[in-house]
Amino acid sequence: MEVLQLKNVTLTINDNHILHNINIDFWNGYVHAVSGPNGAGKSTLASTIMGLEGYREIQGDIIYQGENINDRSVDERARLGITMAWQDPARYEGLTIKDFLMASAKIKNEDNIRDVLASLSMNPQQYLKRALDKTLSGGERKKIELASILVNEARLVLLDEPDSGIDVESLERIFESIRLLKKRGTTVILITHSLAVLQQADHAFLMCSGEIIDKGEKEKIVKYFENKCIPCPHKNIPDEWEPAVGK
Amino acid sequence: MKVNYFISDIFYVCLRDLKHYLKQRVRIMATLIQPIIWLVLIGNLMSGLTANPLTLKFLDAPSYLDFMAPGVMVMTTLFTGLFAGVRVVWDRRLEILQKMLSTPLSRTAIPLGKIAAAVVQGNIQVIIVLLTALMLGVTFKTGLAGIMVILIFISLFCSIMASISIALSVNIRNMETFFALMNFITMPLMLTSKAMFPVEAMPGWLKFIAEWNPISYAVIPLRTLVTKGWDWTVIWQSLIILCFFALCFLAGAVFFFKRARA
Repeated sequence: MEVLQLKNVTLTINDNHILHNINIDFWNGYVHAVSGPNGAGKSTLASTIMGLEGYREIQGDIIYQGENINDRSVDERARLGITMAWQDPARYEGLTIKDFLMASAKIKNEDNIRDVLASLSMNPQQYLKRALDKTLSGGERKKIELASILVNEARLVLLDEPDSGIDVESLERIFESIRLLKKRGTTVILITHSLAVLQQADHAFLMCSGEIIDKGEKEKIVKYFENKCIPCPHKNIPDEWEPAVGK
Repeated sequence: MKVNYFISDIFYVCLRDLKHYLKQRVRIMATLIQPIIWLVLIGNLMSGLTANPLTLKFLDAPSYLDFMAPGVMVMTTLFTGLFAGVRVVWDRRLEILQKMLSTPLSRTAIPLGKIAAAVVQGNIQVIIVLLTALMLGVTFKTGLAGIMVILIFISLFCSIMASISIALSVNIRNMETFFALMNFITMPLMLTSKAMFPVEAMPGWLKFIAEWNPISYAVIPLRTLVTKGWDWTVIWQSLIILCFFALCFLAGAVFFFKRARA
């Protein structure tokens, strides 16, 4: 069953079609990946689903659990159970990690926060009292961002480039968290151009130039990576494939 | 449980803004030195100029310094309150606001937390001004109890100014516009009020504006508490008016913040 549907979604900014006629169904409890080269419109798609400023003036419909949420603001979408982890996590200068996670948590329980940090191989004793500032590495900030998603207990999670700035060991922890989200029944949308992240998905979409040009099992989309992206409109589809959607 | 969460949301937003404020030592020094300069330089200078029976009658205070000290307290609060919105503009630019909004954090708690932080900052600054005024020889007729009441008035006034600032900041996208707008508001507000000059010395049109200027509603009870004593008619009247406006402006700030695009 679809938890989120995008129907003919087009986003135009300064006369440029950033997203063009997007039709996607995201199934409940699945891990989906939206993949494609830089500039394909993947992060824009995530921002549009989240309803961020500058991404609200769309044509088409965004249907979440049967309700059209086009007119819903970011916080209203968050209250409906949608949340997002940014590619570059914001620095909450001033708060400790504990304060930040407590503020982000749906159920404000310190034990829960400790468990989430431990699941990301972050020692709670060491991290809870640390300030969420530039003393943390990019990878640590990324994991804290993911921890905030885990304590949020949202129903639909958008993870924008979850592997950026992450070392190999930590990457496995991130993947475990994605599996944990799936186990909880959360629908996950991975925005990625990484093969390793794409492998975590049950189902994948391929984007190029603001359009969905293919979809299917991840193995099918993985083949795209084996055929290096050529920067021209949709020429990066392997020859033997028939595009399922789009052109 | 829901109320607990709402209060804790306000607390975290307030805590973050306060910690950020306490880290800005240069800003703290600047905001503290400015009122001290007003008291030490202009206060003492004007005290000399106004030390004659006719002017003192206009001032209705033992000295210009006694007359001016409540005005400086309100001026300090005015600046602190009106610049509360800068954190909204800043958080938006750093995409922190978007992140906050995509969590279960209450959208109502964000402006309220920021206003609460401004109120705490305003009180810290006013306490410094109070101590400076005491050192310069200003006598507080109502003593320590009066000082506590002064801080209540300061909190109400600061929450009004911070609410205005946040309501205006929700659709401002850059710092330059924000600072230009706030500077445009603060000086006319100050100079057309009863904060620095006695209303009796004003021309008719300015007197009219001063009577309706919101700053006057904060200055008059403070001046009464400092120079006259417990005049309950003035205190209650001002308290009711400021409480009413504080509630209206808080509701306005929340309304505009929630209605804003992000």
